[in-house]
Amino acid sequence: MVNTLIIQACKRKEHNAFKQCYEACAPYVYTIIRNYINNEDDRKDAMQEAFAHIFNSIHRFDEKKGKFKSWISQITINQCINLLKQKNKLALLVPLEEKHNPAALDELEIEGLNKALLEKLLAKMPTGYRTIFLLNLVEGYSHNEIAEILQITPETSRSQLSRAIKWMRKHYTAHLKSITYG
Amino acid sequence: MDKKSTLHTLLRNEANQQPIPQGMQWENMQEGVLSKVKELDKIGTPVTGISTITTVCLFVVGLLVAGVALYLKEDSTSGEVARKDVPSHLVQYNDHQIEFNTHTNPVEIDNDRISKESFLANSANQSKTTTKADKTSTIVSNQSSNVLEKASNTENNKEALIHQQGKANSNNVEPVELETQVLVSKPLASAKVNASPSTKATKLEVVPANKTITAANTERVSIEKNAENIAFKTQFGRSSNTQIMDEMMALNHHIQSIKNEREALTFSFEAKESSYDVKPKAISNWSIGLAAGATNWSPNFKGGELADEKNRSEVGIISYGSDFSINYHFNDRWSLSSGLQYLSRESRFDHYSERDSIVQLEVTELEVNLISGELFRQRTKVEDFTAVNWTQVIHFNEYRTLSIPLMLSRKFGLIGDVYLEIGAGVKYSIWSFSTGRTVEHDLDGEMIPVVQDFDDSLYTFSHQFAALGNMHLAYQATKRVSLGLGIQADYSLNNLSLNADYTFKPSTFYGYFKTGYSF
Repeated sequence: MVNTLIIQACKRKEHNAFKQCYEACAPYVYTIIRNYINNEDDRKDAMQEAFAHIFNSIHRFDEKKGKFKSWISQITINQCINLLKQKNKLALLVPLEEKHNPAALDELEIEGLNKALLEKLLAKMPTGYRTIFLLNLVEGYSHNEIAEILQITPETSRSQLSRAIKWMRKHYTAHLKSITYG
Repeated sequence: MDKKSTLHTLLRNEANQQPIPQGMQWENMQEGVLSKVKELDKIGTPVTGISTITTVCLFVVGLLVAGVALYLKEDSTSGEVARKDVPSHLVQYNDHQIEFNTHTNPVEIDNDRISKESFLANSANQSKTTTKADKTSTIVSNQSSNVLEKASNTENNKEALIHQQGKANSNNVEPVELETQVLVSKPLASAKVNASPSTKATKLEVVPANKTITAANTERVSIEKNAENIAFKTQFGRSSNTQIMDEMMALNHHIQSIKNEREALTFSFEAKESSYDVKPKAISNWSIGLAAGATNWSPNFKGGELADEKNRSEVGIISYGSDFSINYHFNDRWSLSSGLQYLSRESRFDHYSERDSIVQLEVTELEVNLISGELFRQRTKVEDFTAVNWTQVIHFNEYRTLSIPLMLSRKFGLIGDVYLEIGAGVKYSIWSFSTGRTVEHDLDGEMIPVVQDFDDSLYTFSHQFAALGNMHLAYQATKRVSLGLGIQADYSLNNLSLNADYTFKPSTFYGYFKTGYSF
């Protein structure tokens, strides 16, 4: 994605390197942001925050410890979560007291699911559900980690993920029906 | 490929080739991004382990050095003041010796009478002379009428009246002057006195102005005494040496008595001087203090299951703090203090986490006739399997505040210069900042890359309004400098959490080393 020389130049705070780094990484960063945030103005804010934090803390990045792509991905996700918190869009993550039947990922049929459809469904999904869905199923965070990031309990995380899977299954099925039956 | 991987692939593959909106090109974003980077640079990176300890140690050492320096300066300054305040003429005159010589030239005159008068003038003003007084004496030939009138009272026209008048200047800054007059009916001689403060005797040398005057003219010296001055009468003419010697002896005796009197007065003067010069300067009602130390806190969450789980999992760890205080002392016991207090609190949250990873394994498939046992086909292939790795995850959360405390304290004297101060009050945080970081280890102890490094808090805190209690044990090292150790506890009166799921009212403990200075 970005070669070592550009990273080294970014560590020296060279603006030309910032530009090259931005141009190389912006599509990837924007793709992540687009999954988490629906509003275009908010996406622009998140983009600015993400790159500001990337450039500011790039001296901490160590190539021996991980890939640059993973590193900027984590920073971008953090900034997305922070923005959602600031906009109070994670209000749905209140622990619910009622009993629920947990849904496993196995219940979600994803045969025939393509990128465009998945993004479309995610954009419609409530923000709270979507955030946990992405963090757990796409980014690979555990429920404990999600709980810490979102200031909820792991149990709440599991519960919300279960609801997100149910939501996705319902809407995907509806979509399939709409295609089948016109 | 499992469903997680499928979802990840769908959303992340070819992400680099995705177009970005027109308004998000570098040209449009450059200004905002770079200004934000500068803003983050100003905030700076969080202070961590070793550098924090080093900073605190240097601060404490600096305070100690400053305290010792102030203590030494205080001692040396008080010594200088005591020495300077002793009038110099008294010090100088203590060593004077009186010598008499029956020789005509030089004639020796004692100046002790002057010192007494000088002292009397100075002591009358209760002055503290700090300037070394140059003492000069002159003998002048004077032919003025009033001098001649005095000369007429003498036995002989040739008699010269050496009138020595000690005159001390009442102005304590100006040099003490001594005027000595040689009164003659004819111009006989001019003389000068060199009375250097360092000389033990003051010698008056009569330099002949008229060469006709010889040593024979100095055969007789008569002495007049009164309460305020000593007069030497020198009768030019014949006189017995015995009479001169008697009168000189009488003069010597008189001067000795004056010297004794002067010594007594000098002693009482010095005693009086010391009685008010050594008196300590008044201490004002204001004092300041600088403190640095360690903090710990008890994250105290309330509000159901979530709060209970956070209380179980999150523990406070040692951090650092420092404060600057300004105190107003109403009297010896009660004081009101305020200032600025910077405290950092840290907590730690450990848990184990499962992290999935894809492992590729070689699989051999055998197709066997279960009845006959015949092997139809053997096939080897590589398949992906999901492996679960357990890792230890540690989250460090830090909460920093800059607060203004207001505290009322009472002082209790213990032993000697050791006292205990107990206070209570409130404080309000005018600035707060929170940060955190996460470190992950696998179970073999090997550190996995830092998963997250939060620039913002895991918690969103509001400003803190807290009740404050303080106990401070101090030693008054000098009349102005105090050194002490103390502990302060605060309890948040308002809920710091903006999360509706739980309330958060932490208690903080701050142990510190403090240096105080009274104005």
